[in-house]
Amino acid sequence: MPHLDAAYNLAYWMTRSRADAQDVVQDACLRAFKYFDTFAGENPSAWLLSIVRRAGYTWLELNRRPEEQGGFDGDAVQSAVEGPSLLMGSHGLARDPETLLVEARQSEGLHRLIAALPLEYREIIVLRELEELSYRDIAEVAGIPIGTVMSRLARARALLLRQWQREQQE
Amino acid sequence: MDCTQAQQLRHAYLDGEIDPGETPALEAHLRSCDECAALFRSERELSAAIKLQVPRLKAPELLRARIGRELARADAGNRRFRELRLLGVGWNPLAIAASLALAMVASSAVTSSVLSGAQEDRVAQEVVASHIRSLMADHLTDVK
Repeated sequence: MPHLDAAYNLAYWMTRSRADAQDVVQDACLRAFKYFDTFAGENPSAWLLSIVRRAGYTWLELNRRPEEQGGFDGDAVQSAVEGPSLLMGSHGLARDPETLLVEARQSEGLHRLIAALPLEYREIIVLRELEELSYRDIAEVAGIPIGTVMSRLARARALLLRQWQREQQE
Repeated sequence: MDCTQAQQLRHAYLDGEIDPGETPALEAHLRSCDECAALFRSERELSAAIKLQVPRLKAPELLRARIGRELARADAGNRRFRELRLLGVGWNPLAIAASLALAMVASSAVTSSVLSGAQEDRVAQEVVASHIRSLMADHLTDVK
């Protein structure tokens, strides 16, 4: 089931939590199942990812902490990068030690920098660099025009590059 | 081509999404503009580093199982209808495999019904049910 991996990967990067990603994917699969009859497109994989993405946004609206909302500027990126929030669950509760360890190991380098990107840039980076979707598929998943995909990708890479180069110089 | 125009085309070029007609102009610009060329190299390095350093997660087995169960439950009401419809779709190799398996189960159930009626039926039903459950999960997530 390669598409379930894609669904899980996207949900993980949206929620930045493995446990929450599972809830989002399960919710999305049930929704997809319910509405499969109405699916008329030609790319079921992008369709499923678009449902995962919507489920992810719904989940974030219901669960994310206030400080994660808004703010697409460099300062927000900086504070997210430096803050301990990645070691915390989305509910602000500390995880069990094993999860903490796993996530701490992953909170290094590019993993941490991508996790700190504002959501609208993070999802584009994940869809392009990790899922390797075409611009057209990204547009379909995110429900935005291809031109917007291109400008967001350019902005996302610029943000990421700046942070990455800063870290390499240190 | 100026730097502003080159800025977005750089990404399309990097991602293999550039209009072939625009490639020569962009390549010419990258040869003549050190600043854009340096940015392009950095972006290419970044893209490669992400693929190298950031692993793509695999869905946990427990999640697969959970979704399979949930879908089966959600579908309990119209499983029979769904099963026939799914098998009729025929785009999924699994659906074809499942339909063959169903046919085998069904025919063996018929031929051996003389031997042990009720028990055989129940076994057949269970086999069918498990096939459909596995099909449910794949049906949604493994479609090509």
